[in-house]
Amino acid sequence: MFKGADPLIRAMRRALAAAAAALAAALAAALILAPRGAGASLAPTVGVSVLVDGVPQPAPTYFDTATLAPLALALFPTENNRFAGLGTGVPAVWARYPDPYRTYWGMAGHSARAWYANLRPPPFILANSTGILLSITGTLDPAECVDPSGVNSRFRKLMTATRVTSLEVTSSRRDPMKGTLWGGITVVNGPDAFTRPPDWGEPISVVYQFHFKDDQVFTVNFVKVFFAWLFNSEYGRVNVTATDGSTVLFDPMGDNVPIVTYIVVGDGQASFSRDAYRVAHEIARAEPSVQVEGGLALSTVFVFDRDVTVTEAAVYVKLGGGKEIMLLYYVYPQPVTVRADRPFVVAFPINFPFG
Amino acid sequence: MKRLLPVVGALLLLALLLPLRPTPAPRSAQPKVKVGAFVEGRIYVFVDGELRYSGRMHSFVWEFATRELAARVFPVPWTGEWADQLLMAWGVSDDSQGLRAATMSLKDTGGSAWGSAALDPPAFAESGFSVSASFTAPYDTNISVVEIHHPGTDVSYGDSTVYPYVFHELMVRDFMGSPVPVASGSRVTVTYDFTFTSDQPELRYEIFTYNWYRMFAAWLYNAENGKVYVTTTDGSQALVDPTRPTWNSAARNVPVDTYIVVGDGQTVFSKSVYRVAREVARARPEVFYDSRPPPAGSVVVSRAFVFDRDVNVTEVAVYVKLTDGREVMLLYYVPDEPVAVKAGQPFTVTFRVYLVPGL
Repeated sequence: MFKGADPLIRAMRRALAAAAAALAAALAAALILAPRGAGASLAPTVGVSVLVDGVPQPAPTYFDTATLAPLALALFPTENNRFAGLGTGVPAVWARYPDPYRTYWGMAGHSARAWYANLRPPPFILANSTGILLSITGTLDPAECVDPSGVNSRFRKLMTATRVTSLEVTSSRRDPMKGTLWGGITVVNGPDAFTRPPDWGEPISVVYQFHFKDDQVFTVNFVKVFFAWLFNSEYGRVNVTATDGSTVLFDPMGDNVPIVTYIVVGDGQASFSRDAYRVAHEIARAEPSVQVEGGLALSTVFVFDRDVTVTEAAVYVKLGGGKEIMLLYYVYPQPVTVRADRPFVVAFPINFPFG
Repeated sequence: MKRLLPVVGALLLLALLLPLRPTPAPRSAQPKVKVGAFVEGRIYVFVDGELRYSGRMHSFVWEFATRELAARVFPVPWTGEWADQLLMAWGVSDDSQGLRAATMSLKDTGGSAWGSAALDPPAFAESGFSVSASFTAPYDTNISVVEIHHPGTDVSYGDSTVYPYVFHELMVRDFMGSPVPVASGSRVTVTYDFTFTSDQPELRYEIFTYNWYRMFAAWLYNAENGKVYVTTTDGSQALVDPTRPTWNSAARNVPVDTYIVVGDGQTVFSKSVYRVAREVARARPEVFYDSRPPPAGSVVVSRAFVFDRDVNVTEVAVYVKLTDGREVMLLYYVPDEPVAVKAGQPFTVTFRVYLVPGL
């Protein structure tokens, strides 16, 4: 689990140094909380791209604050829901109930009309030292495409459309207050136009690729849970690795979803791995505060009653079934010595560039 | 003049090099496997043992047949409303009266049906399978139209009660090029030879396995006389049984889920192959029924994959999972050359089965 520390640490040093200036603004809020403490300074980024029949499309827009709030509430719940920027009635909870006709999500192409295709598992996940790539694929129905010949009267009503003008990805949500469906969240809006008009009768292959870029932080567990949140249906069921090393089913349709969030720090001999599932040696944990303005950030302040040497920090969530899973993980390039009674800030900001 | 020579030379050299500019890269470098093949065949009419008619069949009720084939043979959960209807479910219940078999009907030039008989069980051969039915002419007549029906189930609603009913679905209809006269008392046998290769070179992909023959027959019959054995991916034999105990229960052993499977094993195509040599990935596909009018009606099974490492794809297949949990490989394709797919690069697999349409 904790192999290959040296190359990663060297790479991290270089990358962190280069990113430090750009991250200063994002970190400022966290550092202000504890001007005398040492902070964990991380800025992983989530992006998305779209390919239609293998052809890259114009950059879509995605993840506005209205999307991040439900994401934060679903993935990182805290007992007090201390989320800045959240309104009331945020439709972010997990599906929980079998509802096959309404909890699907799909892609829609808009022209004279829209059409939808269910997106199906499995998640395709590619992890390496620069990040994790999550690919979800769908195929639009050729029978819904435009008949350029106009021969078939059944489809003549679609003849006003000569090309697909946009795609979007939406996911149905349930209103936690009413127990009813709230409607779809547009996670990804765009691209604005296909570069390839659909050929009559030919299926259109659409691939959305979410890029989780960082030097560290994102684990495969996190990307799987993100996938489960996107699908939020029985198709979002996915196996994750718990902190005890066991495999558990993360189930949007059941109760095995996050109920409590912790930031955990440790002093173990650790190295970062995408497959890491726990800190090497935990010394403290605390519920973080969660901000969703201008991105997503989890942060908390630790004060120790003795001098400690922190080597690692992580975000754990406890599932309804009782197991804990580690979603975010960071190993400091150098151990950080924290004096007793001095505040020590740990912040996990995640950038969402909003397209 | 001497000073101009190098300039002229350079211009000439430039002119020569211009055509050597690299051509623009294709817009889509996405690796893919896209294959299709026809279900087709011939129809034979024997009167008192003598062959009286032979012709190419042109045959399936195109809109209904493609939809049924997609929904029943390649079921995928939540394919869409069209696949969730009872109409699209396999089989006929044990308690249905008199409508439990696939049948063949003969009509004369006036459109009057003068013969109807249950199909004999399918007879399998190397290139496909045959279905036959025999009749005795009740009077002097002719054969102008041949139809194959299979039973289906639907419900009607009234007084808060659901009333199931069984009906015969018209699946195949063929018009004779010229009516075949039949004398009263003559013994008539009509045979369909369904074949699974194409005479259209661009669609002559080898994708159909022996398992496909059998599953297709089970689909065509959709009844008691359409039970067939297939070879599952573990090498065992499984009985595909489209019958169901009651109208609102599931069929006993039919496809309930579908996967496109990708492999990188060392392999060659064979109709008797029942699994990929080495599986790399699998995923539920999107399944469409493309019910456009002749000659394009087809069923499309398609899915894009993204691998976490470089893969040389040597084989792709369509598996279906049966009610009893075992899996059956129906379609199989071995590309002439391995398809190189890089990690993170989308790779699309599309299978297309064309039904020879008649209406």
